[in-house]
Amino acid sequence: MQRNLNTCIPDDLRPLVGGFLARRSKDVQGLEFSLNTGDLQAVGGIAHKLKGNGTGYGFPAISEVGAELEMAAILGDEDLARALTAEFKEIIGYFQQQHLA
Amino acid sequence: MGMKDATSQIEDFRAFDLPELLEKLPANGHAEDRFERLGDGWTFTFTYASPSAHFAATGTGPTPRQAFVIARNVILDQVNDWHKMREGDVEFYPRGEREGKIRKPSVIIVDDDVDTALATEKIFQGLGCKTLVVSDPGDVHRTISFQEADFIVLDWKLDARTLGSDVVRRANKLINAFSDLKARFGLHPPKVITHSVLSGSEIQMPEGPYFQHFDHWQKPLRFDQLVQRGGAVLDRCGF
Repeated sequence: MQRNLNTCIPDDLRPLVGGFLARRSKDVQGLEFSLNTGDLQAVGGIAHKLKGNGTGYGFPAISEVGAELEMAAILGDEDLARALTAEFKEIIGYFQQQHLA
Repeated sequence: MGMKDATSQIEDFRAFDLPELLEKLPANGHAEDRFERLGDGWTFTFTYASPSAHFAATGTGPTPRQAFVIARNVILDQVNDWHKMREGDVEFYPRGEREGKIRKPSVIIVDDDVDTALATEKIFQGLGCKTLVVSDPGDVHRTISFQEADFIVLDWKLDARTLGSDVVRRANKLINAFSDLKARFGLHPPKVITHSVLSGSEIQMPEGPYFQHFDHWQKPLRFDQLVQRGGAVLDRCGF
C-alpha cells in the first residue's frame, strides 16, 4: 500500500468511529455490487460521499480514494474503479484492525 | 357532464392538483383521497395524517373538479391554522428562552450522508447550538420552510437528482403559498451555509428573499477546520 494511512481522529468523534467504519464496509459492498452490475453512476455517488466525509473523521486516505474513485467513475474507467475499490477495501480492513480491535 | 369528462378531471387531479396540494402539507405524512358519485354530482374526501398534524375535508359539487376545489380550500384553511397553532410549540427553543437575552442559535443540518451530518451536528452542539438533522432529500424543502432556524447547513449535492438549488427553489415556492411563512422568512431569513466538494464559485443560490447565502464550506475539511468555521459564523452573527 503506497498511500499514507495516518489518521487523526478528533476526540469528539471517537464514539462515532465504529459506526463510521462499519458504514464504509457497507460502501465496499455497494461499490463491488455496482461494479458487477456496470453501474458506474452508483459508484460515483458512493465515491462522492467518501470524498466528503473521510477527512472530517480523521481518515484523509478515505477522502483521497473517494476523490480518485469518483473521477474514475466520471471518466468511465471501470478498470481503475475496480482497482481503487480493491484498495479501498484493503484500507478499510486496515483501519478496522487499527481502531476497532 | 359525461363520464369521460369526469374521468379526465380525476386524471388531471392525480397528475397536477394532488402533487401541488401535498407540497403544502407537513413532512412524513400519509394522504388518502376518494371521489364518489353523489346523485347528479360528486363528492371528494381527503385526509392527511403526519406525526405533527391531521387534516380532513369533504367537498361536494357538480363535477369532480369542483368537489376537489371545495375540499382543498378547507384543507388549506386547516393548514394555515396549523401554522399558527404550532408556532412556539415545535421550535428549537421554548418561547421564554427565545425572548430572553440568552438563547441558543438553532441550526438545521441538511445532508444525506449520515456521517457528515453527525459530525456537523457534533460541531454545532459543541458550539452551544440546538440542532436538527434532515437527511431525506424529498422532505428537506418542507422542513426548512416549516421549521424556524437561524442557520441552515445545506449539502449541495443531496442525491443524484436533488441539488441544494432544487431544495431552495421548492422551499421558496412553498413559503410563497403561506402568508405567515412569507412574513416570518421576510423578516428573519435564515442564513444558509452551503457545504459541498464544489467550490464556492460553482454554487448558484436561487434568487429570493427567504434564504440568505452566508458562507460556503468546501469539503473535505478537517474537524478542527469545521469547528473554526462554525465558530466564526456564530461570531459574525453576534451569538
